Amino acid sequence: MLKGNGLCKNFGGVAALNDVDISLEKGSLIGLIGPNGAGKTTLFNAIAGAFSLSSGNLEFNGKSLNGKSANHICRLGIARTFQVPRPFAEMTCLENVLVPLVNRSRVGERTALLQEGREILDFVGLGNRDDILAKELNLVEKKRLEMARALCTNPQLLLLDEVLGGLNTQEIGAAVDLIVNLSEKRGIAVLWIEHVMGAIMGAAERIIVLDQGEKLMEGTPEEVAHDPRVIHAYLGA
Amino acid sequence: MKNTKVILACIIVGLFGILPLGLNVYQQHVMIVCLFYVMMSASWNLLAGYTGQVSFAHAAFAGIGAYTSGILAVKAGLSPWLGIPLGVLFAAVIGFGVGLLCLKMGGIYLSLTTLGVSEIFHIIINNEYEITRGTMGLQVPGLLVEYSKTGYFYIMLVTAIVSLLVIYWMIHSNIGLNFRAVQNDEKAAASLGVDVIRIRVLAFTVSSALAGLAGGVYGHYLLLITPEIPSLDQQFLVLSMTIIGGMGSFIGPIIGAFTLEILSEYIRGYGEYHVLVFGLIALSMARFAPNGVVGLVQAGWAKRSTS
Amino acid sequence: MFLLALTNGLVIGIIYALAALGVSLVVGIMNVVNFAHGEFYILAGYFSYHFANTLGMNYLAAMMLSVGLVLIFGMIIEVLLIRKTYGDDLYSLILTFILSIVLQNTYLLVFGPYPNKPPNWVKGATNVFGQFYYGNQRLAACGAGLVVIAIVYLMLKKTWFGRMLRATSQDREVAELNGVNTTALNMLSFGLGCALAAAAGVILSPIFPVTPTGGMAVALTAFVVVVLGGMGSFWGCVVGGLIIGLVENFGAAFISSGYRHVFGFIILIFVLLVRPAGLFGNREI
Ligand SMILES: Nc1ncnc2c1ncn2[C@@H]1O[C@H](COP(=O)(O)OP(=O)(O)O)[C@@H](O)[C@H]1O
Ligand SMILES: [Mg+2]
Repeated sequence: MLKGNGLCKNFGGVAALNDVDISLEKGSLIGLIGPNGAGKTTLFNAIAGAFSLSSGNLEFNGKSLNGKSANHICRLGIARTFQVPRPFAEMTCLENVLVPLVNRSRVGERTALLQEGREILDFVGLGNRDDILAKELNLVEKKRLEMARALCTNPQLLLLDEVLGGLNTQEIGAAVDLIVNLSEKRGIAVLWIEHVMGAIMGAAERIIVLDQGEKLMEGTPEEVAHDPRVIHAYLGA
Repeated sequence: MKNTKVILACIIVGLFGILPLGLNVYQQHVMIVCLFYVMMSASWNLLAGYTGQVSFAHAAFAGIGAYTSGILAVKAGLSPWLGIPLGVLFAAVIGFGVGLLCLKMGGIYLSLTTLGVSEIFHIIINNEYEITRGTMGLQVPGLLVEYSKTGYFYIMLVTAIVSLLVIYWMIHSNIGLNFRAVQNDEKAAASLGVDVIRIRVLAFTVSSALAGLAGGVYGHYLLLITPEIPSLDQQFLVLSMTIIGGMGSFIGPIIGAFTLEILSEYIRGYGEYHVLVFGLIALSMARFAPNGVVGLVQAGWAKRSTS
Repeated sequence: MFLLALTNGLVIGIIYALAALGVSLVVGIMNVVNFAHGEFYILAGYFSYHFANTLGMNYLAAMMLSVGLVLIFGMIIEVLLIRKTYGDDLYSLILTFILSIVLQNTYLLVFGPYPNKPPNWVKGATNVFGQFYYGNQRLAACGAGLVVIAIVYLMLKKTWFGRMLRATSQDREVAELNGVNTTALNMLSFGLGCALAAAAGVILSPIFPVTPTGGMAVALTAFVVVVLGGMGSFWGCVVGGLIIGLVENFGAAFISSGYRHVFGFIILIFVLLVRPAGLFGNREI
C-alpha cells in the first residue's frame, strides 16, 4: 500500500537519502535498521510529510503523497512516533491522546472519545497516568505516550522510530508483543526503526538496511544477519 | 465542580449588574474602561496564551473596528449599531489576511509582521487626514440617543460577557484543544492530524474580530476616535495586563485588566507615571513569575495542599 | 530628482544597515530579537549630547564613551533579563518589548520630551553631481557608518572572537563541546549588539535629534531590514538596508512622501511571500 521510488533528500550538500525504493504491503511488519546517521529518521520524516523530498515519488493506497502536508498524510492513515518524544508537555496524558482523537472524527461525542483515549492509554501501559502532565513522565512513559497518540489516529500504517530504547528486557518483551499484536490482530502495517537487534530480528517479516542514505539491502532477518555488507556497515572498515 | 463555577460566574455577573447603583459617574467611567481592557486582554490572550502567537497588532485591530464604524457614521451617516458589526467584520477580514500572510512563518516572523501592520495602519491614519482627522481625532455619534454612563456601562458589560463566552467556549472545545496542541509542539500536532495552518489563522481571525468589537464599542463610548486606540502604548497595556494577570489562563487577563486599570487611576493622581510603573511591574512579573498572578496563586495552593 | 533620490537612498540605506547590524548579530548568534534595540540607540544619543553639550567634552570622546557605557548597560540587561529566555524566542521578544516601553518612559522622565541634538562634526554642504547640495554631516555620517560596517565585517571574518561567534551561531552544541563558553559569549554578543545600536545612535543623532520615543522607528526599520535580508546574515543586513533605503526614497520622491515607510513594508511582504527566510537567509522555517 506504500510505494516509494527514487527517494532523495539533501540537507545542504549532504545526501541524507539517496535513491531509496520502498514498498510495503497491508498488515506487514517491516524492520528498518542501519547505523546512526544512515537516514532512517529522514525517511520517516519524508513519508510523514514533515518536509518535502528533494526528488522521488511516494504513493499511499494509490494516492500521491508528494507535497502533502503532515496533517493531511496523517488523515490518509499514516501515523508516526518521534525518536525523541515530542509530547504536548503542558497538557495531561489524556489531553495528549484526545488531540488525535478529535481530529480524526469531527463529530465524536466527547465522552466516547475520552473513553477511547483512556482505553488506549491503558493499552500502552499508561492506565493510571491520565491526569498527569506529559512533562512529568519519564522517558519510557513518554515513548509509550508517543505510541498511544499515534494509535489514536487510527492508522493503516504505523511508523515507529526507536520505541524500545531505555526499556529493560521484560518491558521489551511486552512492547514487542504489543507491536506484533498491532500488525497481526489489527492489520496495521508497521515500519519499525530499531537498534535493539534481538527484538526486531525476531519480530519483523523483512528487514530493510540503510547505510549512508542508500538502501544497502532488503531481506528476511536471516539473510540480513548473515550478509557481509551489513556486518561491514555495522562494524566499520 | 462545574456547577459551582457556573453559580460563581452568575453571582459575579449579577453583582456587576447592580454595580452602577453604587458608583458615581467617574467610577462608572473607570468600570467601562476596565471592561474594554478585559475584552482586549482576553482576546489577545486567546491568541498569545493559547496558540503562542504574539501579535503586536491587537490594538491596531481595535483601531480598525473603531475607525471603520466611526468613518461610516461620519461620512455615510450609518448608525453605530450597524457600523460596529461592520467594523468587526472588517477587522476579521484583515486579521484573516494577516494570518494567511504569516502562514509559512509563524513565531517571531508573525510578531514582526504584526508590528509592521500596526505601523502601516498608523501611517494611513496620519496621512488620510481628510477622512480620519489624524491626531485631532474623529468625532463620532454615540450608541445612545441620550448620553448615559449607566447605559454605556450595561452595553459594555453585555459586550464583554459575550466576548468572554465566545472565548470560554473556544478554549474548552476541540478548537481550544488544538490551539494548545499547536502551542505545545507544532510539528507533533501536525503529525497527529491537526491542521496547524487553519488553527493559526482561525485564532488570528477570531481574536482580531473581538479586538475590533472592543474598539468599536469603546470608540462610540468616548465619542472621539483617536490614534491612541490603535497605539503601541495601548498594545503595551494589553500585553502587561495579560502577563501580570496570567497568560494562558482564562481568568488571568480579566484580573490583570481590572487591577491595572484601577491602579492606573490612582497613579494618575501623582502624574503620568502609570506606564512606567506598569512597565516595571510587568518586567519583573515576566522575568520572575511568567504565569502571572494566577500562576502565583496556583503555586501557593499547590504548596499548601502538599504540606 | 532621480539623482537626489538615488543619493538619499544610498546614504539612508547605509544608515539603515548600520542601525540593523546589531539586531542581526544578536538574532544570528542568540536567536533573540531585541525589541529594545532602538532604545539603546537613543540612550547613546542622549549620552553623547550630554557629554558634548552639557559637560563640554570633545565630540569624538563623547561618542566613544557613550558607546562604551551602552555596551556595559547591554551586558547588564543580558544578565538580568535575557539569560533566562534562551530557547524561547517569543519570551525574549515580550521581555524586550516591555523593556523598550520602560526605557522610553524613563528617558521622558530623565531627559524631558524635547529633541536633543549633539554637535555636528562638520559644517556646510557639498555639491553632488553638479546637481544639488548635500549636507556634509550626512555624508560624514554615511562614511562613519561604512567604517563601522567594515570593522564589524573584519571582526567577524578575521578575528578569533569572530570565528567563535560564527561557530556558535551555526551550531551551539558543537561549539560548547569544543570549549566555547557560551554564557560569556552570549553576554558579550548581546552587549555588542547594543553597542552597535549605540554606534548608530551617536553617528546619527546629529542628523536626527533623539527623543524619548524615537527608538521605536529605528527598531522597526532595523527589523524590516533584518527580516528582508535574512535573520542573522551580515550581507543580508547590508543589502537589505540598501534596498529599503532606495525603495523608500524613490517611493517618497515619485509616489508619495507620506507613505515612505509603507513602501519598505510592501517590499518586505513580497519577499517573504516568495522567500520566507529572507534574501540571504538559509534557515528552515
Ligand atoms: N533537519 C535536518 N537538517 C540537516 N541535516 C539533517 C536533518 N535531519 C537529518 N539530517 C542529517 O541527515 C543524516 C541522516 O540523519 P537521520 O535520518 O536522523 O539518521 P538516523 O538513521 O540515525 O535516523 C545525518 O547526517 C543528519 O545529520
Ligand atoms: Mg534516527
